[in-house]
Amino acid sequence: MQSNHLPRRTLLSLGLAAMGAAALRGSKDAWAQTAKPAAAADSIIVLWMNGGPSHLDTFDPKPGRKVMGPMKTIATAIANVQFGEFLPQLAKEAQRLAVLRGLTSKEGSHERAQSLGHTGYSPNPTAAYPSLGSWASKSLGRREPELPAYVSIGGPGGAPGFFGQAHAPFVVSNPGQAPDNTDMGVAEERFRRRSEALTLLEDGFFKKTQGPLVPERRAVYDSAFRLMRSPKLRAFDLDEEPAATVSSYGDSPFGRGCLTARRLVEAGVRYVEVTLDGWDTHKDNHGRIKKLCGSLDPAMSSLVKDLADRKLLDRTLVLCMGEFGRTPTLSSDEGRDHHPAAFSALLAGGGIRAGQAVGQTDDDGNKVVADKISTADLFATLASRLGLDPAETVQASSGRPITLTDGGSLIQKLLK
Amino acid sequence: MPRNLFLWTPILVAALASACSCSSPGKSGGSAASSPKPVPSVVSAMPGSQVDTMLRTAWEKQGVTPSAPADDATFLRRLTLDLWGMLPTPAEQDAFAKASAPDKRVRQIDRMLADPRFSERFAVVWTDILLGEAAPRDGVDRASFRSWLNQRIIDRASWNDISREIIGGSGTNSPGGMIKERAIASHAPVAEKYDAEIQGHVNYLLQFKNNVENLAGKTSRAFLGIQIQCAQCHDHKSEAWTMDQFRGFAASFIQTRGVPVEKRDKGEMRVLEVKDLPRAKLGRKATDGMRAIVNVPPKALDGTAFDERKRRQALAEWITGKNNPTFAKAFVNRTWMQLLGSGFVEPVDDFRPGNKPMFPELLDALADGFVNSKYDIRGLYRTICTSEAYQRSAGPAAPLWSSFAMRPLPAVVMFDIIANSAGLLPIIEDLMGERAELARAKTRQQFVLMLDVDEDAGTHSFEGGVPHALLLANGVVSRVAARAIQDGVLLQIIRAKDTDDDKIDKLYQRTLARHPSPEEISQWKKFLDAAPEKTGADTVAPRRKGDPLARLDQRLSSKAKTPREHAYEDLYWALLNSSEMAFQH
Repeated sequence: MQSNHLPRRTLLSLGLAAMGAAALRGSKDAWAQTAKPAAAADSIIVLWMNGGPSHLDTFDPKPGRKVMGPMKTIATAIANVQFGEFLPQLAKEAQRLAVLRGLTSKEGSHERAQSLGHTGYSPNPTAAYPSLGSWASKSLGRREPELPAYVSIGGPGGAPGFFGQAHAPFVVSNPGQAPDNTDMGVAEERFRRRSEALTLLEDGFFKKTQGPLVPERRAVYDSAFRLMRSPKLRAFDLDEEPAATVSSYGDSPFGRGCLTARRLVEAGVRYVEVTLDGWDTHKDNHGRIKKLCGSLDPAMSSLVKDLADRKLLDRTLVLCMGEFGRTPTLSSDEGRDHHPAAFSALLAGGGIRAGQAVGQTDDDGNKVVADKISTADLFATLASRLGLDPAETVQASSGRPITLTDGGSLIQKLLK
Repeated sequence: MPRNLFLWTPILVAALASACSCSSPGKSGGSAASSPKPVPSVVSAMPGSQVDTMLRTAWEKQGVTPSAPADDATFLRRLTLDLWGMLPTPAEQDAFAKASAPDKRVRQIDRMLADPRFSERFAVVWTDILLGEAAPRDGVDRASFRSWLNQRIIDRASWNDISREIIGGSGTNSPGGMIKERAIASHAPVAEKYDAEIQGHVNYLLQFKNNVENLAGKTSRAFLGIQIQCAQCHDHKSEAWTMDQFRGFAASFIQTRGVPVEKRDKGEMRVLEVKDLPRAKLGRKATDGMRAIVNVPPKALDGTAFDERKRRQALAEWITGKNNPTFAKAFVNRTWMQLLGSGFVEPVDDFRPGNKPMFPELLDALADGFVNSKYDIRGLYRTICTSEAYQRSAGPAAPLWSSFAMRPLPAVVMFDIIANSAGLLPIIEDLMGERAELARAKTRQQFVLMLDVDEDAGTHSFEGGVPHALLLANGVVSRVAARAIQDGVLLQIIRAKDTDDDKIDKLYQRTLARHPSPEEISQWKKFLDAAPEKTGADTVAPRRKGDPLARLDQRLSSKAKTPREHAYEDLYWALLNSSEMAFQH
């Protein structure tokens, strides 16, 4: 019989590791025996290319093939690896990048594929899978107590699933400025008085009811108040950055987002996602790719260089990907449609063997022909770099065990 | 007074009724709250006394001492939040306090169940359950679904009829129009006017875009409280369900399709007619599982074979039939959880042999009563709300509902009670005109995204994160609500020719829905007296893209002049942010 006062869900989700997670995993795989791997990186920055970027026009071009349409290709710093012509700065930085050309999935609709790309699982209504950022928040916790573990800039980020709102991304809608709702709009003295008045009310209500939720809620308010007054909040603000730095990232919201991401990682945020939206190029593929690359190229290349200059790249993982690739065949609207069978990503930083391309698609970029990478493989690799155990298993609210990655094995060629 | 009142809805009428009472307390006694109206009778699903006997026996047997009874003010607040999704107005509070009939709680329950605000609330809650937040906005018209459901509750349709219609429905899903506008309508304070031409309930069938596996899984969870979906890929490890059973169940949906009614322009809602094709057609996106289902004969979970030509209707009949073992229990269990904080079975949609219910005898008795009442929704609410368990005061967690379970209010309710407490909605309407609807929809949605908890999971702990607290403490709605703005409730209260005692009393009634104790009054008078002579100036949030309410922050400035008036704003801010305001208790 289930007891009313033993919140099963809280109990299991909090205490499971201690209560013998290994028993749950059984003999499922070799991971069951390993503990959390040593972290190769303290933080990760995910550049999320929302809409599904064309792999052919970015990181997996097919020089001389008809499928390229008007897009030209350029050489990169990696021998025999070319990029689309609108990524010259990334091409120059390519020795710091690993180019993943073998990604493949079965999810061809945006919502489902975006969910897969954030949680590592194909969506299924019976389980609210947490995104990787929420796993990092839950399992690794904050690096800096005054700042959130998981921040999303310019997009909603990944859902916390059954880990709950405490592990949802802290969303920054306007990169470069203080995050939303961190200013009460009254002078410091009144803020102090309000906090005092709230304490009187909370204490009174707790005295009357002894409801355990009252102090729990107050603790969250205290954390919010600490963030509002934290000097660390300046990490969100770009005023302190030299104009030259701001402009090297490109004069775009995405560029400011990437620069903010660097500042946040420096200040101790564990997981930052920055969204560049607009890659759903069903029409005018070439023109729109040019514009999007105009945002991506300076931002990501400066980010990687900047992190390296500051000796942060060794301990920071950088990933650039979207939810799927796009069809090699150009439509009558000069566009490309959804193509989950083959797509690309870039990886850089902590624990990643850079300066190489991993995976290969066929002559026209239709199918992966060598070193296929599933989303689960990618997630296992990312997790292990961050010091998460890819086989970590917790009890979902439904009572079922959910594992961090949906199977998947480490992509050995990417590991340093 | 704000103009354009006719545009506003019962929620607002309630807010105004009480707003008026601030300026002319003498007149408020005769408002709608206290005038006796004939109330259509509600038949209880089972006599409350029978529930109470079972509960008391169980408490005694387990040596549990129930918490003290909730006082009238707490009970009225609790009930109004649960049945209407709002706070009782000061006039309603006064009327209820004054009423002396021994059965005044039962009368109040009946009156509230008969009110349109009950159907409104029920429709919102069940639209969220049946069309999850994740349902796509294109081709799934939440506004039409909500409007249909609201009408069915007004019609006093029974739960089995409603369920059968939803599972077996066909017809056109939406009146069309821009997707954006449909989304706004779905967040409007009241349901759109019912349109008999539109079969809003079919949106349920459209939410998974032809993925019958997900539709089958959702149907089993939502209506039967059974999670068969794990058998989608493998035979269930520990429980009874097999892949064959899952496929037989899902096969009932395989011919169901949403067929486009007409071509649409960019940004327009996809208008679809739901019908069953003579033969299943698998689109390009069909999963391997769906291919496997095509040739499986449709069957109930207990193996009953369905007429293949009317398979979906047969399934709807079987699910909602008298002999279905979990249909009535699933609804009883969920309703009990909604009203009392936790279900007999948890998670509420996970009935299975390995997940035994707490107190199964009471669940069975309630389910039997519900079936015997012909699945009367109001009757079940009446039974639960009149029961002993619903009369307890909130306290530390206690077994068998012997103490009322404190829990966060749903996000939309939180938004509504803050906005209504401060009298903000008419002011927004006044200031923003046509854009008010958009502003309110966006802000409400922001609350939903940030504050909503997974109700299915049965929440026992406080789940809100820091962004949640920041939104409530500093978000535009709270910022503006805590200012003494022109036409706002706060300004009316603090400028009235009243004593501090009376002003504090009114603020309590409009936030915590009760009177303050003498100790509380003296505590706040001290707080007011300690107001510093000089504080810095207020700041205004930077104008942000995509936040139509940011304009309100700019335009609606505080009229407070004295340190004491500022101190009142600070007190009101604290009340709005208090746990006593934010929790159902």
